[in-house]
Amino acid sequence: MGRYVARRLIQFIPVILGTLFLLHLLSTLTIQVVGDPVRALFGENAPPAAVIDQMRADYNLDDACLEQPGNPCLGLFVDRLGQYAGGDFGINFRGRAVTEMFIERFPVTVRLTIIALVFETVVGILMGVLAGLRKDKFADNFVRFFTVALVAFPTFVFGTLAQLFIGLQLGLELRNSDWAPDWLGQMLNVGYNADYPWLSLVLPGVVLGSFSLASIARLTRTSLIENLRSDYVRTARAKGLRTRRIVGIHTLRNSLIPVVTYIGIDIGLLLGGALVTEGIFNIPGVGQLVWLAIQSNDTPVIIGVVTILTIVFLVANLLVDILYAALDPRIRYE
Amino acid sequence: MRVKTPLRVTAVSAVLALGLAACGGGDGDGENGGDGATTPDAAASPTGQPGGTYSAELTEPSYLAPASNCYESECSAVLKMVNDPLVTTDFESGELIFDGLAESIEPNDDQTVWTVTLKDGRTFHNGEPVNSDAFLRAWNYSANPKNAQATAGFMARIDGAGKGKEMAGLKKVDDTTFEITLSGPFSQFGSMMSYAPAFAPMAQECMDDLKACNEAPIGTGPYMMDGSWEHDKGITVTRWADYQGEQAAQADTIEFKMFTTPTAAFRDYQNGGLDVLSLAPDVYLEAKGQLGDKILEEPTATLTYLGFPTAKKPYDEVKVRQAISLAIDRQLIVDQVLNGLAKPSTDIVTPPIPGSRDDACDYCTHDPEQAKTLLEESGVDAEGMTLEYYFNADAGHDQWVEAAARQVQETLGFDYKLNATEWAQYLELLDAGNFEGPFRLGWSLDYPSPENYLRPIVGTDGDSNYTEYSNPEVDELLTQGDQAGSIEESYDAYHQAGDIALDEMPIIPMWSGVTAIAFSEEVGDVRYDVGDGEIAFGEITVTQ
Repeated sequence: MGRYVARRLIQFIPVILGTLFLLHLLSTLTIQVVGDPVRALFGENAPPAAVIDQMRADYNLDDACLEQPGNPCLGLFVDRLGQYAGGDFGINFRGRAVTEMFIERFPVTVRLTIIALVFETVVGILMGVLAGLRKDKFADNFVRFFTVALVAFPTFVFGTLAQLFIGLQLGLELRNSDWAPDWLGQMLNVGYNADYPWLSLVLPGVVLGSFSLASIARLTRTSLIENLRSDYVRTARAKGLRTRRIVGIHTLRNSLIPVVTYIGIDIGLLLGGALVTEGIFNIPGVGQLVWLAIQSNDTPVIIGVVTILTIVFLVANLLVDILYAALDPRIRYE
Repeated sequence: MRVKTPLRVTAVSAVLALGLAACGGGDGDGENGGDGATTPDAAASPTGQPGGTYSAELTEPSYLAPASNCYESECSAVLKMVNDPLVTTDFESGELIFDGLAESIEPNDDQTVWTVTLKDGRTFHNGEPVNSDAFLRAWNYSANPKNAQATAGFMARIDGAGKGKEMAGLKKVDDTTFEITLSGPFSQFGSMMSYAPAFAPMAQECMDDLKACNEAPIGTGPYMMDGSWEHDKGITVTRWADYQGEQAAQADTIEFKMFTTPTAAFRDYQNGGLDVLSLAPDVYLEAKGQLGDKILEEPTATLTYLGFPTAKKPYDEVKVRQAISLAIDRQLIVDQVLNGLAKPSTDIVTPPIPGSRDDACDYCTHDPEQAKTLLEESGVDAEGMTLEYYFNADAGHDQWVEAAARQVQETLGFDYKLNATEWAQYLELLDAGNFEGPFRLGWSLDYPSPENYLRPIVGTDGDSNYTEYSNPEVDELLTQGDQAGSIEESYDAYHQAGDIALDEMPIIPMWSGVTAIAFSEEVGDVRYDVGDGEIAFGEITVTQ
């Protein structure tokens, strides 16, 4: 186990380096082709040239290679690596440390991700089991149709509609009414409310989780149906075990392996999806930070935050892989 | 001279490019501040008493300290609450109003040496005196290119600016008096100083820890920070009990809230969480449908125009430029494409600015017949010729540029090609003078003077002159205006300069902006301050 984890950790290094290099290349190319982000900070009436030059120097954007399209600017890449290795993820175009901004916002995104994960796993697995056990019956058809519909709606559309109809129309009704409890109205709010750090993230969390909910339900269903046909289930039946025990203890646990794999990847998707959801619901999380940075071409923030997210994603996947062993006793890490 | 007020600037295009909220420029200064309650355009009925709390939408500002790093509307909206202006400008007359920190501002005879006398006894929120040193400290910091301050350009006219730590042209006379020596005569310098952020004083405590000061600026104005700046979330300011100045401060507390998108802000408004917001084009129609006439619509000082590369064919021909301008039906585009949120141009200087005229531009009307005649006279054959139009992408310009290009095509026969580029790339093309055809630009004021539109846009080597247009006569008239002894004389010279530019049309003025503001029933006295390019937050009263 220890050796396995160590090996995986060593594998992180090329992945992180590769990600960083890709980000570096893209941002360098953007600057080379599209133009100087410092100049773009100001409009038609730019400050004196000396001011622009000083800012370029401050942000390490005065390197000559940034004016030669196609030049990978390896020197700048090495500089950045050295800087990141020391734990310094740079500053944004307004002088704030990227690390500080990330730490400030990460808890919010973690809360949102947890809500989305809990929602999609619990509801998704329940729906999958229901459909799997009632194959080709009404419940199965309903779940299949429902999940296709969910997947068909991009998060952006779903989020906007949920905000308008559930958050605003229904939610406002609840918040203004005498009978509805406060928590219910806050759960269905139009945006983040710092006074209700968990409740006001419920609606965005559901929106964020709904896309993956569909995948989880379908994965669970397929894998359950397959396992129900396997030899060990027949044996268990022949032994006279109850269906509840067969499904709950034996089959489901095995069927969850693909689901857990998916959840591991999904953490990355959720962090990425949070970008849109946090934008719509005005949630001050990491996704919003990236959203705003992209809008303002704030390269240091984009590279810094995406690098940190890559590490988070890698660690999450490592944890998932370790979890396999708990689900399937045949899997051992040596 | 007398000065008046505010200035502001144009991060407009940049901000629009970001798709952020409306915004105009902003500055922090006092508008007609003192007499705050008398708002002529009150869609909002003034019923509230001083006091109360309300919330308003704001886009994340760039910097709050040093104030000299504030060159966009959002920071200046906040700084206007937190800082007193040095002086403000009256928008009717162009005269200075001394309702800020200055007791008087006097130029010498040739407008090269300006003496500023400060009011006695004013302090910063932390108790430090607002004296000559506080101004010298701030201005010298701003002018030093090492500090890369966004508004350093405002100091450029002072002798010795941009060359190290201290400007030779800045001299302390005594605690409340200092002298500014310019590198050349400039009659509008007083007006210029009404751009509050660029000319704000700085407390020593702020200078000692700029980072902390940026999070919680130490100002001189009617409001002080309540807690520190919560980035991308909000800024709260509360009334300063010891305030001795004249700027308006009605509500006790103003909560500025930030939103990722204009839609998110509007949803919060509908939800009852937000009292005042500027409506971005994204949500304007929806809001208009729901709120109708309750929306406050006010003209802004932002000019939108198309520039010509005047050295390139066929744009080197004055009559072609005039013909293109006459072929465009501005009113139609404003009504159909911009939802009526603009005012067709009649001058390069936009209407709210003193010295603007409503009949200056002969070629800004829609007259297809005359356009055809002029094109014929020019000898240019439109047959088979394609005009390249340029604008920055994703900033809401696509539709109107195409509409204008089509009108030109229908009337004159020029084919068109639309070139949309990223903002950074656009600026690069602009700086390099690489446009092959008409290009879109915007301009908003730094200080309310016709000079601030004409010199940058049509003066030789103007900061925003990207047309390569150069007419010594225009420059001469602008210089005359700068050196004039009175406001009327200077406006007279500027008008003549404007007439020449409007006749030769290196740029065709399209329209000036209109802003739309929604506010809840809990607030009144909502007014748009043209000079600031922002809502006059200090004047808003809470009614319930």
